[in-house]
Formats: sequence, structure tokens, C-alpha cells
Amino acid sequence: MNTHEVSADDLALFAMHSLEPADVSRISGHLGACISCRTELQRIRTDLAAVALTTPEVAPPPRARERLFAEIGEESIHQLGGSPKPAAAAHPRWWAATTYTGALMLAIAAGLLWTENARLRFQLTALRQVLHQEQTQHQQEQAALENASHVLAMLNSRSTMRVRMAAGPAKREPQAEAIYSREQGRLLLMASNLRSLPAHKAYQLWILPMQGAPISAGVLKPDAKGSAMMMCPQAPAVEAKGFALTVEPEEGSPAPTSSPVLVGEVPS
Amino acid sequence: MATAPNSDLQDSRSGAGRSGESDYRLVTRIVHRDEGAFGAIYDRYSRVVYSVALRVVRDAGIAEDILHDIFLNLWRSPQQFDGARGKLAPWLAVIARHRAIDWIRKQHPQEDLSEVQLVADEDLAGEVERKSAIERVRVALNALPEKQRVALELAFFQGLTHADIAARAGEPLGTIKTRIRSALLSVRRALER
Repeated sequence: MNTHEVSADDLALFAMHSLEPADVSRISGHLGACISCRTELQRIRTDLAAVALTTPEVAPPPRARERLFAEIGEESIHQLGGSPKPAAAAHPRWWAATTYTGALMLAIAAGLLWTENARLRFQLTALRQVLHQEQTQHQQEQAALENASHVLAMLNSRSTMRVRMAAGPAKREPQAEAIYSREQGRLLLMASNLRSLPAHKAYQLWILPMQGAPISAGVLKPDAKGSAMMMCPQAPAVEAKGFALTVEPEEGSPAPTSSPVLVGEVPS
Repeated sequence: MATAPNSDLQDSRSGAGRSGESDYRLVTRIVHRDEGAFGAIYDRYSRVVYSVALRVVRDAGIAEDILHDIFLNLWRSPQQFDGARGKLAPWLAVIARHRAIDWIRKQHPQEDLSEVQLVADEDLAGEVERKSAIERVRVALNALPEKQRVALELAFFQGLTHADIAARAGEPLGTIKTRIRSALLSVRRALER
């Protein structure tokens, strides 16, 4: 930063408002375009703050606090549209006294109303947050319920086909069952004993149509026990002749790049 | 599920001066016109603001006016105040110094409050850490070569320009700039220690 047009010396003086106006505008212009100088300026201000904070602390007089709070109290009342300034003279004293008493009561009432209003607004904000959280949770539960009812409908449908895929008869061999409803456009895969995969690899499920190339139905990764379940809620509605599972990059492949780990054919 | 917002409500009803409530949270409450939170911030930092202003203007009445203006500004525009961790105390100290120098020079405030940005420094965050860091800075300032210390004092607490200081010391402008910068680097090293 020090190698360009603004030196750190100048930045320190700039931060202290100790430069002449011409230098101030030159540095202000430069700061608009130089992130490193802006960062250094912030750092210098923090250094200066530390210098300021070395000042031995002296308590302000108590009246300073009273004066401040009286002013903000007045402002609050005025913001609420309260206590207009009393009209000048021309009224008898008893009338003025009544007016001032009334104004004072109005001011107190306005102050109380303002406080209550602030408290209620805070509560309202909190309640809105609660409502938002509950709505979000409700939507999530609704989506889960809908998904479950779709699965149930698919499992109970007579037209749904179930195809078990296996590499061999042994119990611990990888196996999977693909449940596919062409009508509903849904495909459920339940797999077990799948081998663990290297990092950046995943299993990819393919629909093998009667005609044409395999169609991807999604990628999945098994859990530590080798089990996996995947629901494809928008599976392509094709006449399938079978299903296959291959190992692919975890982001999936447009077409299978390895031999199927599991494959199953639709019974004729 | 509903516990976090309920506790917020309880916080708002409890005393704003309760120890441990963060500057950020208090400033957020001030945005919602919470006078209790404003009082807590005032009680926490009015001494800093008043002391710095008093050191610069050397007049209790004027220092009180500066304190009043800064906190009134905080009440009116709390969003300008950065309540993030470690920033409010140093930020208020810098603002107090600037407002006091503006008063000495009979100038209107030279910059918007929101333009005065500092880095968040953990050493200046909590009261205990801040006291420790400030003590290190105080020691570093006392250890500065006399000419550096005087240059910084004149520029920072008396509001002299580097040209004024150079004229007063009868030395080149560049020398004064370098002295001020060197003094500030010593402060930074003390903060980073």
C-alpha cells in the first residue's frame, strides 16, 4: 500500500483530521478505489482509539444523564404527536393552570402509551418470528407427509413393479430393490450391503428403457452399513426393461461409465 | 421451538443494565426505542466519551455538551453506531475525540458517523481485555521517544495539523509525519502483543 500515491503517514494524518483540505480530497478520492488503504485506515482508527482510551476516566456529572433522558423523553412524546406548545397569554390564570395540568396529564399519558407501544411492537416482532418458524416447520412436515403418502400409494398400486437386483445368492452380497411406477412417475430404490466407495464417488441408478440409452434416476451414497434408500419423485415415464446401479463420480454422469454393480430386469 | 423468542421477551423486560448483555444486543434494542438499553449503554460508556472530550477541550461544560450530543445521536440514529463485538468503546472514543477537535476548530462535524469505521479488535472488546490492552498501550506511549510522543499528543489531543506542529517545532513536515506514524506503529505493536 505504501508504494502507491497515498502513504501510510498521510493516512494516519487523514484519520486524525490533521491534513490540509487539498490533501483530504486527494486521499478521499483514492480511498474510494483502494481497498488496502481503506483497511489500513480502519486499522489506524483502531490504533487511535486505543490512544484515546488511555485517557484516565472521569465520570460525567449526574445532571448530564438527567438532561439527556429528559430530552429523549420529550422527543418521544413529540414523535407521538403529543403536547403541543401552550398558546401565549390571553387566558385567565385559572384557565392556564387547567391547560398546563391537562397538557401534563396528556404528556404523561402519551409517555405511557409510547412505552406500551414500544413493548407491544417488540412482542409483535417476537411473535412474528415464532409464527414464521412454525410455518416453516409445518411446510416441512407437510412435504414429508406428502412424500410418505406418495410412497404408500406407489407401494400399494397393482401396476407398480418390484425388481430385485443382486450380484449373487450370498446373503452379504450387495442387493437392491427398485420399485417403479410409470403412471406416477416415481421410482424408489432400497439397497443393502453396498460396498463403501472412495471419496468423490457415488452409486448412480439407471432406468434401462426398452429403447434407447440408460436414463439416470439419481445418485446415492450408502450409509456405514451399506444401506441406502432413494426416492426419485419425478422419474421419467418410460417402458422400462430393467434397472442398474453403477459407480460414478459423486456429481453423477450423463451416461454410465462403469459396469453395473447391480442390475435387474423387469420380469416379462 | 418457541423458547428462543420467549426468552427475548423476558430479556426486554428485565433490567437493561444487567451485566453481560452485549453492546450489539443493547444497540439492537435501542433501535426498537428501548430506553433501558440506552441507559445501559450510557452507563457503560459515558465516562469514556466524557473523559476523551474533556481531555481535548479542557472545559467540563463543553465536554458535557459533546457527551450529550453523541448520546443523543446514538438515540436518534442507533443504526449509525457499530455495536459489533469489540467496536463500540473504541468507536465512541474516536467519535468523542473528533467531535471535541471539531469544537476546538469551530467546525461542523467533518464526517458522517457511519463513515468512521474501525476493525473489530478482540483486545478492546470486553472490559477486562480492554483494560489490559490499554495498559499495554499506555506503557508503550510512555516509552516513546519524547519527540514522537509530543507530536502524537499535539496532533491527536490538541488537534494541530502536521503543518502547525512542524512550524512549532521548526522541523520539516516529513519528519513530523514520520514521528506520528512511528508513534502509532508502537501503539499497534502494543495492541498486538
